[in-house]
Amino acid sequence: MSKRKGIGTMAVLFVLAFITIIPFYMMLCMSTQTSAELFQGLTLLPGSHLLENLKTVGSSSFGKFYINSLVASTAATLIGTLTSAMAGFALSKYRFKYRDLIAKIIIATMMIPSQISLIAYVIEMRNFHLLNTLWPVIIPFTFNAFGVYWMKQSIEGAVPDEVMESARIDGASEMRVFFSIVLPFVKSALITIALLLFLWSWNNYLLPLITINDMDLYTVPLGIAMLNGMYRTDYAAKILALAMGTVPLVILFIFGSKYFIRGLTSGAVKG
Amino acid sequence: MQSKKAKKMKTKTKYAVLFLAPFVILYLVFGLFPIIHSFYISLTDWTFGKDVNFVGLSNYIRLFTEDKYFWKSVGNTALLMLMYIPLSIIVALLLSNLIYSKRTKFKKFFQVAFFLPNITTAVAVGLMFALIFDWQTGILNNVLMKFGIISSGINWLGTPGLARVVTALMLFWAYFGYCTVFYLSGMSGIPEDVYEAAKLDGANHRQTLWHVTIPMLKPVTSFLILTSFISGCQVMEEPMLLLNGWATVGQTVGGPDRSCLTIVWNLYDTAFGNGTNLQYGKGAAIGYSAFLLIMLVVMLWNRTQKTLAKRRGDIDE
Amino acid sequence: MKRKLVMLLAGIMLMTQLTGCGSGKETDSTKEGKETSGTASENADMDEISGKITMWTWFDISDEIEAYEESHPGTEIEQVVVDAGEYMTKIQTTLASGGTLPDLVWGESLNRGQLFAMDILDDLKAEPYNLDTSLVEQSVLPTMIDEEGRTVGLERNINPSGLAYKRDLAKEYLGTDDPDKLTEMITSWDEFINIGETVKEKSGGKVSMLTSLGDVYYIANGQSQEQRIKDGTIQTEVVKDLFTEVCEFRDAGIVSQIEQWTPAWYASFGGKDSIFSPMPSFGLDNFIIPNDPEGEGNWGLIVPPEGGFNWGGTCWGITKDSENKALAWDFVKFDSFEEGADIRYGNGEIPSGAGYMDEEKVSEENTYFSGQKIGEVFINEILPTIYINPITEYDYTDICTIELVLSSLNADYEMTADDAVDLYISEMQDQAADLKVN
Repeated sequence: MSKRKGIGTMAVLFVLAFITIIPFYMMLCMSTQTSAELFQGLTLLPGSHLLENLKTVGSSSFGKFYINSLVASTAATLIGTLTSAMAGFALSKYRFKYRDLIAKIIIATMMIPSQISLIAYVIEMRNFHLLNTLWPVIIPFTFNAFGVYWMKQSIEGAVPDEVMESARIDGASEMRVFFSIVLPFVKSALITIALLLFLWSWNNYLLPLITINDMDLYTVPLGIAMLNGMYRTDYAAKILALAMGTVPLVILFIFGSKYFIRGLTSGAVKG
Repeated sequence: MQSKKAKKMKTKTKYAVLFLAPFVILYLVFGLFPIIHSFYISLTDWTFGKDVNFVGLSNYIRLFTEDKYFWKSVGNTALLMLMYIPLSIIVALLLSNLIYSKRTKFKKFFQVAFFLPNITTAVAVGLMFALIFDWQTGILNNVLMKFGIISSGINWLGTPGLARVVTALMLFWAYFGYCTVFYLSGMSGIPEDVYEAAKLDGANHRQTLWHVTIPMLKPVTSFLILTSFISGCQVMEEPMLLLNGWATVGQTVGGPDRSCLTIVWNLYDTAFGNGTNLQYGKGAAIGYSAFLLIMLVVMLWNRTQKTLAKRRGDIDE
Repeated sequence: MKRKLVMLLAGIMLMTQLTGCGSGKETDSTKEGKETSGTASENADMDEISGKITMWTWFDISDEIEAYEESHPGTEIEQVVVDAGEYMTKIQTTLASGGTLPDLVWGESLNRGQLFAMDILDDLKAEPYNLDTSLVEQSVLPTMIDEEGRTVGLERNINPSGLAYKRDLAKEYLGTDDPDKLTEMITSWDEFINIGETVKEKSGGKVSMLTSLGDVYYIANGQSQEQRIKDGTIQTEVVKDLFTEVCEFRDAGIVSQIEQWTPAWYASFGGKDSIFSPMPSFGLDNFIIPNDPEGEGNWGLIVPPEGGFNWGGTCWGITKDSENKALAWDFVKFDSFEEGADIRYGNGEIPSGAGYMDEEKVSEENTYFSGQKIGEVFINEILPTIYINPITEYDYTDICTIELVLSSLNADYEMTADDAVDLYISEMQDQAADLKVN
């Protein structure tokens, strides 16, 4: 009975996995085809046009775009994750005046569509003389209300007050409590928000489009958009560029997924 | 005693401020400042290339009373959200429970697999959905016609109602894996002894899910409901890439009969659309109106939650 | 240990990259261009060409730039390739946020009315440029002039357009694949429709004359000498004529129900479902070869009934704020009339210089067109008859609205030309409230 149920479960999971993987797989196939093959219908077989598409994409400058994106997204992720965790900690484990109000305001900031402040933000960047550096595309991800809220929820649920208290009695400073007690408890939550911040900043398009006027600073999405023609776009080449842009994300996510399971495996061993 | 406690409270406040500071300072300088600036912009009639005048609330008044597309975009967005968000969250909860179950193998594989739609770039996804759902040459119509289910092709992306359904399908497909990640992350935080205790009490799987897992995941669920609602209100890219056609010139906005014009797509088209005179004042007003509406709904939601909790509390007592 | 090393390396990379661009390139590149070029324009008469300019393009023109820099030492031309779809957004947003534009910009024929109306470009016929318009192919001149009558753009290419067809289908359904015989056969659009109806019958409804209502539109619009929008007023009669013609083609059942610019439309070039396609001179490289890789020798080209037309175009503009106009202008001349034009011709473009297409170039045989001299059709037959309507600031709103109406006409065959006109007018007025209707 239970075994049959197990098989049923696996079947459901595999069907869903098939639906989610197939487009990704097809994206990879499409990137090796000609645009003509692409438009003539979906196939599940790779084509033979990979090298030509690579030539169109212009692999040499793509390396530069990679580095720019990597630098920007890494900086955004590191800073953004840290500020989120710190603020989330403050809001979940300290009692102070206006705490709930501050938490509410932070949540409210998520509700403002980010596009509206674009012009004002660009004006501000210009006044700070930061245009045509990578900073304008990093900064918006260094303070992420979503991340704060997520870390607040996670720390609240996962970190027992007693553990913190006993560390304090042992003479640990608040910084130490945060870094060596709290953070290890919410490792998977940290990885989650870090991955998402990386993903969002990596795919960010409108902001670099407006703020970067120097091809030496182009990020991957700008490099991909260069392939957009007025009357015709070489879609196969564009999809290859897109696939190339997503590879780092997939790798990162495969590494990150280890940390979601960890809680489980350690628990399983204990049990 | 009393003063010691107060002192402790004070130092604690100091630390709280310290931990909040990096976020708050960055937010005040780079977040709030442009937001306030754009609120001012929303009170002007700023259109590219024209003189800027302060017009007070008239952008807002016109949006709420005269504008043809504002309420339509609000309705479209709400319909789309109703179609994909509840489904995504429920499926994600059940799925992560399945993945988390000890008997399930290939956990890592499933986790990555379900998240892939989020990583697969929207342009490629849009192209694939377009190839599947194309009226004349799409795979779906071909298959349906071959099996004699329909006699002539269905114009999936050219009929208002159907275009919405396809868009919602695309959104669901991309979103449920994203929710799964949060649930899994939340589940890894549930202590194992809770499950042990449930097992000792003789609870079966369904009971454990219902009485242990779901209650323990409440913070994640409320996080997901709130943030899904907020992000759902800001959906733009998916319908845009699905329905916008493939030319750079002469793009249409909103799909058939503007049935998939979302709030933010409308905002984007108004303030950043390619080739028309950009209306920054009106665009900012659309953004702020959206903000107000979202806020209103969230406040109502919170109030109902509270009333419900109170009523439940009464019954418990 | 290993992890620490990786972290350290990543940290160092991050720091160098960030501080590197933080200090070195702090200023706007356009501004930076100004600074370096400032010295050049201070001791500036037009003879001295040196310094640096920046340009925004939507495809890579490094070939011309490299050739220019090589033959003009002391000059530097920085190209920024911008997404074609967001080009105008970038220009407007840059200006709105107080930024400066590059020295050189491009304008596409469909949205350049917008660009011209911004009043940011110099008049090229005035000092210091003194463009001699007789150097440019005469039929494209209207596309270079803004609504005030100033020549603010210099057209890069000519885009004469005709009617291309697939030879195998023509032979099967029309009895001949010879361009001359086809021209004799199809004397008018009415005749074209009649023939289409027989083809439809013969093929059991499988083969159509054209792929999309968008194709019909590009022909009808290109041949029309009436403006849909004139002096800020929609000319209802002109709009009605257009949609009546589109509906005539549609209702005769000789157009496939495929929407233009969709994957299915591109695929149709390689398919066997429609015989004809309107084709601009850039269409061979952009539409046919990529989508019909097997089709070499299977294409033919004729002048459509009622004559050829123009399709698209890209022009140069020099911004008023440019501080090195000497270099900017010199490069534009190089690209339009000098060596740059030859490079572009080699890359498949047809430069707009008057008489650039000499007899030798025109009479090249094209293998894709089964040895037909398509240059003779495009240049000798079509080009002299081309008429282009003046540019207006509503052009882009117009084309977006047209696409929308065509899409509705395509989805709903019950929709009449009158319905289309109503939809067009209400959509136009939604987007441009100041438009009047006539």
